[in-house]
Amino acid sequence: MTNPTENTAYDIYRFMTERDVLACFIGNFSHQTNTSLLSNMRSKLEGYDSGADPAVKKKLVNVMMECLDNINKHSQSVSSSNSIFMLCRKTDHFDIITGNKVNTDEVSAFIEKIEKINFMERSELREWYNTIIAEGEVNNKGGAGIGLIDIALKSGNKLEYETRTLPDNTSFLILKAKVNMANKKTV
Amino acid sequence: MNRLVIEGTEDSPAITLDAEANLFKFSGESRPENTAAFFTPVIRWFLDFESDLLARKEKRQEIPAIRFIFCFEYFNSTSAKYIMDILKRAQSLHQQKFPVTVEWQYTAYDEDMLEAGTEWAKLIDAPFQFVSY
Repeated sequence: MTNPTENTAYDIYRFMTERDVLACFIGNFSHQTNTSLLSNMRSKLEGYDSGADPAVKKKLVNVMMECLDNINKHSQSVSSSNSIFMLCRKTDHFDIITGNKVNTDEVSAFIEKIEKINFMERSELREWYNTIIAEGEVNNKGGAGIGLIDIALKSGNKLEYETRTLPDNTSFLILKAKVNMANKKTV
Repeated sequence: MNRLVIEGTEDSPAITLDAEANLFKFSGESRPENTAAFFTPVIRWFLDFESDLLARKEKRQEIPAIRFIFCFEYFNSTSAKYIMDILKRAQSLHQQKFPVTVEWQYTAYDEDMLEAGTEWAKLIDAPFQFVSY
């Protein structure tokens, strides 16, 4: 007789392994949690023989750092919400996926920022990033969308996103950053 | 001038500001929880150092070479703004004809760190040297 709880855990395990989920964390992404997660991901990647060269592993940590900072910053508007972080291996790239609950009225600003970033050429993005750091439009939480610009520049790919409307005027925002296994930039 | 030494932690860089040797070194990881609080004393130290240097110049004292060494493993985008502020202090010294060099060290395969340094070399008026390890 199978215990239904164990069965569910096995289903989740199978679901994740079949989709090449290398890591998944659900919870509150405080600064301390992110520090432990990054340290854990670094060790995991060091021991992970994926054919990925050290440059790709380093880049993954660079992009993960900004993605985790980003949820830490943006999930604070909705109290006691759980967020998600996932690292998945695909055929020719890695996906770094984060998702967090926000107030629905913040969604359009997020989409606008992503669309603006995706519309830009790499040189324009770099110029925008440089202007923000040179003119000091950065507060302690990052600000001015510099984190998202940094994710786009470092990942070298367009950002992907998805939103889901939830009850109580909240939405779930999903951001996907792709890091290529071979050193090839599309942004 | 007092030496300013900050021990590195899991999320903040090791910093040594040695006014006697004119050697300023930053290394490790930079993503402190409160970036402004972490970097403010460092920027303040550089402003005092610059005043001290100008006083020494007025007394016609010889100023030995001033070296800024950046050897970051990682830094987040919020830290980048403060690293820029430190580099602006290097630029200010260079523009006042002090013998400044900025040494940007990076792991050979870390293209993001090299790119960050290359961009700063374009934005900052001071001589940069790139060293891979």
